[in-house]
Amino acid sequence: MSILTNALASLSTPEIQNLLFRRSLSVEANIQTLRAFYSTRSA
Amino acid sequence: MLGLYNYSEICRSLVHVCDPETLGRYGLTPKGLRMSLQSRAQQFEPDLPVWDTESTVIVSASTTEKMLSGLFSGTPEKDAESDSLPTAEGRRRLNSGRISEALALLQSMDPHLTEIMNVAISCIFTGRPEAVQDAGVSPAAPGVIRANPELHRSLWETVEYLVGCISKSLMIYDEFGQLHFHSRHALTRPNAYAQGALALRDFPLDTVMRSIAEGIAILNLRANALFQNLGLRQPICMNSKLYPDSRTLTRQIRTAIQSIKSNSTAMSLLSIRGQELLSRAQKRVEEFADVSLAMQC
Repeated sequence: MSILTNALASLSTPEIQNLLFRRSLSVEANIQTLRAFYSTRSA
Repeated sequence: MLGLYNYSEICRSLVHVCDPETLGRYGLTPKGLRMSLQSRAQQFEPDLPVWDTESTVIVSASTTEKMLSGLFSGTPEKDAESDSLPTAEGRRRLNSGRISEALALLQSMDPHLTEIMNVAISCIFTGRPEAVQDAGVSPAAPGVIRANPELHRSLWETVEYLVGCISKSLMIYDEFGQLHFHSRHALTRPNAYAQGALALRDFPLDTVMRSIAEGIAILNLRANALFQNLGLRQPICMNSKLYPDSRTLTRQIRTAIQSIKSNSTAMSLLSIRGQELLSRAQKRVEEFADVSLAMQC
């Protein structure tokens, strides 16, 4: 089995739920922070 | 990231940043992960193309190449190519061939790394000859690598170049999950600068952290290759002028880490994840110091 398939198979149900709901929000916030920074920096 | 975290940890870091909607559409598979990381990259930069493929694409269309070059430089690529069209096509074909050759060597050396690359790197494009000096990875285009294997660059140097780029790309994605710094804007203040691990001058902290991660990835690659060479009848030729020899690289990484640690302003900007990266780098560089004599490259 590939290392990625293993990593995906090892995710527990709570982890998947966390990924689908709570965690996604913090990732979106981080992306906005980074986007704001790098667009200012390259301007 | 390569050499700082093991492959399972890197996989988890990627899973944690993927887009759940896309993952739901494609399923919990490596392809689903690849597509959902590209969705994240597109949330960051809406102009990025999405490649509906199982593995990293080597860009062959000149229009896509120009568009990606524009994202890297922050300005649209000028239309007038300095070389004529047939020459441009020839260059693109030659570069693609060299990249494919390097990727094949990497695949034979480390299939797990290739798996991770196929998920995290959406595409590799070749820039124009005058763009050779520019960075191979840009935070403005997550998951995209610009590779321009110069004619004098050896196969091994191209492998090192690609591995350095993959490692930096993984670091960019890791930050989608956990920011590495408390304040991005404070990074631009010169009192928070530190010395880079590759170019020996002061840079903003995020650039220095990426250079440390890149240096560790190269030492890690060389150590793995050295280990593999022991069992090969025809050892991999590891001559490289692209990065310093391993002893020098080890010394430069140590100096860069020390430069951050001795700067209280820089240290105060590191988040918990940033501190973890730095402390792992410090531990790993000492481990590599023990084998750098044996690496002799």
